[in-house]
Amino acid sequence: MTGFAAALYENLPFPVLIVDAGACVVSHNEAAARAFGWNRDGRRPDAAAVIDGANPATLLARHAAEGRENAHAFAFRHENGSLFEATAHVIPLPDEADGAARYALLLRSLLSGGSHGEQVLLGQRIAAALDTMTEGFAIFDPAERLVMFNRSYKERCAGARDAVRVGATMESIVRANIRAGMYPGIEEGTPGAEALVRERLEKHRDAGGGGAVFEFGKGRWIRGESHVAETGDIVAMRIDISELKRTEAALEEKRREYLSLLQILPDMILRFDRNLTVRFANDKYAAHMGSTTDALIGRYLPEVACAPEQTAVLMDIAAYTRDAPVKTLEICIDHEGQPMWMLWTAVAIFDGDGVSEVVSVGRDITEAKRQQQRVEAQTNELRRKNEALDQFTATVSHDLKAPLRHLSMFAEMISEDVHRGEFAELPAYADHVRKSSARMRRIIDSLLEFSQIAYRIAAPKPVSLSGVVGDALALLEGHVEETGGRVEVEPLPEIMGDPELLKRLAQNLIGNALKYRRPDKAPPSAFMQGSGPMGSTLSWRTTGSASIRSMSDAFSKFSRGFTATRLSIRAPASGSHWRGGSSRVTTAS
Amino acid sequence: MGGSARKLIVVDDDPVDVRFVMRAFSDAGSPIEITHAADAEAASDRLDAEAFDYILLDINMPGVSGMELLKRLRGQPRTAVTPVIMLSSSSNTADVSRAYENGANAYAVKPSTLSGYREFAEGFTRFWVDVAVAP
Repeated sequence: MTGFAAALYENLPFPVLIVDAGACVVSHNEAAARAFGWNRDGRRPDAAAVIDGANPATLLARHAAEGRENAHAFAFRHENGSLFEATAHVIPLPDEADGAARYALLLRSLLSGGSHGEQVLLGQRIAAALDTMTEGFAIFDPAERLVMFNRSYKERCAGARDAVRVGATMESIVRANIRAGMYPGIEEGTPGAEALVRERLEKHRDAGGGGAVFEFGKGRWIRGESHVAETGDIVAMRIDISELKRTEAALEEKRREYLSLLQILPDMILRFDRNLTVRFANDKYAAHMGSTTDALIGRYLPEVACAPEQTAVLMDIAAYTRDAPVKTLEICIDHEGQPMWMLWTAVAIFDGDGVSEVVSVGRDITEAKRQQQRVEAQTNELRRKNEALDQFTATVSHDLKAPLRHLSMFAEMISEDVHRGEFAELPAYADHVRKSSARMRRIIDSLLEFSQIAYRIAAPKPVSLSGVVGDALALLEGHVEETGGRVEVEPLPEIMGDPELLKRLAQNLIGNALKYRRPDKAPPSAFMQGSGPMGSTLSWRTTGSASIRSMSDAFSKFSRGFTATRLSIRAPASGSHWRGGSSRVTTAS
Repeated sequence: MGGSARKLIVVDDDPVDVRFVMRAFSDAGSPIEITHAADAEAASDRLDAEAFDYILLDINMPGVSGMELLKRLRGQPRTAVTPVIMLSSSSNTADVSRAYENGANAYAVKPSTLSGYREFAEGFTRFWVDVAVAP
């Protein structure tokens, strides 16, 4: 070695080793001494090979033959016995006099084992910096041999970490990971394992293909990316996306729950954008429209809207404002021949350009509507009954007051006449007192009878009104003849009720028509009519004069004994008495 | 007030009550001539045929009620301004209000004593016969 060469050799910042064919150190420079720790305490390199491996001689000879411009990865043995990995140029030296082969090893970069000291190489510093990354980082040469990797790349392999070393092939690392169970559900030696190896290698080679996401270790997910360097090396990145994956899975779960909820809801749900393009429709809506959700998505809403004429207002995008983004609409449509009531609620969602989309929910409120109608009918019925009760109460009050007042008055008149010594009128007054008492007793008896009728109401049963009226006429036959009255009965319907009470009703109606008549008027006549089966109308008409009080009694008895049946009395004028006019019995439909 | 005797028609289906009224006016020494009509139809017939100075009208009657008759009377020129005094057993405020709404000039509940009837007759005479000026 010349003086210049020797100076250069000694002062190079890169470690340079001169080794023999067996990789034993023959000579080294100062930088190498620092890197390998040989100069401390005057220690010298061991006689053993400085390169780890089964056959370093072959390795050196092969790399030397490949040319000095290429750097190759080696595992070097440190003075303290540990191994560190570094790339080195292998330069064959001219044969020495003894004919033994010599190689100059110019170490270029440290690949691993940054713990060997920051003073060694720039590569070591880079390696140390890479070790701080949470992402796995590795460089494979074009032959897919591992050239460099950081700590995270190795540690991610967990049980297969020992397989991650310089010189190891990508395939060997994948297989080691399979063996270590890093790919859940993949057993070594199975077709699945081979397929996985092929897939991983394909992805590794597919640099710039966007990478691949795979489960790596229990519950951990990795996104692997490959990039090709100018040197032809493949830079492999391993990014842990487990958290992202878990978040994604949670979001997916929520999305499924949301969709599931939308599907199980009894409501119809429809989402459309500002152009009236359907973006979502649940199964309920699709079924109602005789379509499928997939077929509806993307369609122009007016073509697939529920009752488009009625719901046009909900499709008027311009009518939605930020102040009034909600619209509700009640519609009634014909559904399979039946009226169907629906309540549509539409909510507009806005973005910078105005309405971005509208979410509308349609609820079937048919049953609620029917309930409402039933309640209204019951309310009207209750109001009518209350009015009838008020009228009845007023009548009873009036009828009770009169005899009571008469009793008081005649008693006072008797007392007064006795005091005056006038006795001529006393028998007449006493007779009035008796009549008033009798009248009052009759009213009270009627009230008691009336109240007891309520307890007689049993389960209503079909009653032939014609038969009932016939029975009543048979009882009144003599009375009809006596008054010269005429009763015509046309065919009457069968209704639900109490036959005995209905008979009494007919008897009362006809009897009163005959009884309460004006002497100066024509003989009374009564007319009853009914047609059709249940749900038909029974009409009653008389030209006689009947006490509405009796009618009211009869009506009350009748209606109580005639559950689910309405009866109304229409007198020609309001008042407590009724003459002429007609009563009307309408059976419940 | 001089001149011919004033004429009052009592429209009431209860003859006993009418008897009380007539006795009360008699006891009160009222010069009023009293006619009885048992229902609205009879009253209408009588009023069509004859002029009366006052009408004493019951509410609860068979057929056409006193309230309905009152409305009819107010619709007819002959009886449009004739004083109509309602005399009913009803003290219901709704009946009272409806009577005034339909054009009644006064409303009284049927007394339950002789003295009550006499006071009614005396008051009636004092006001309607002695004080009030007919149109």
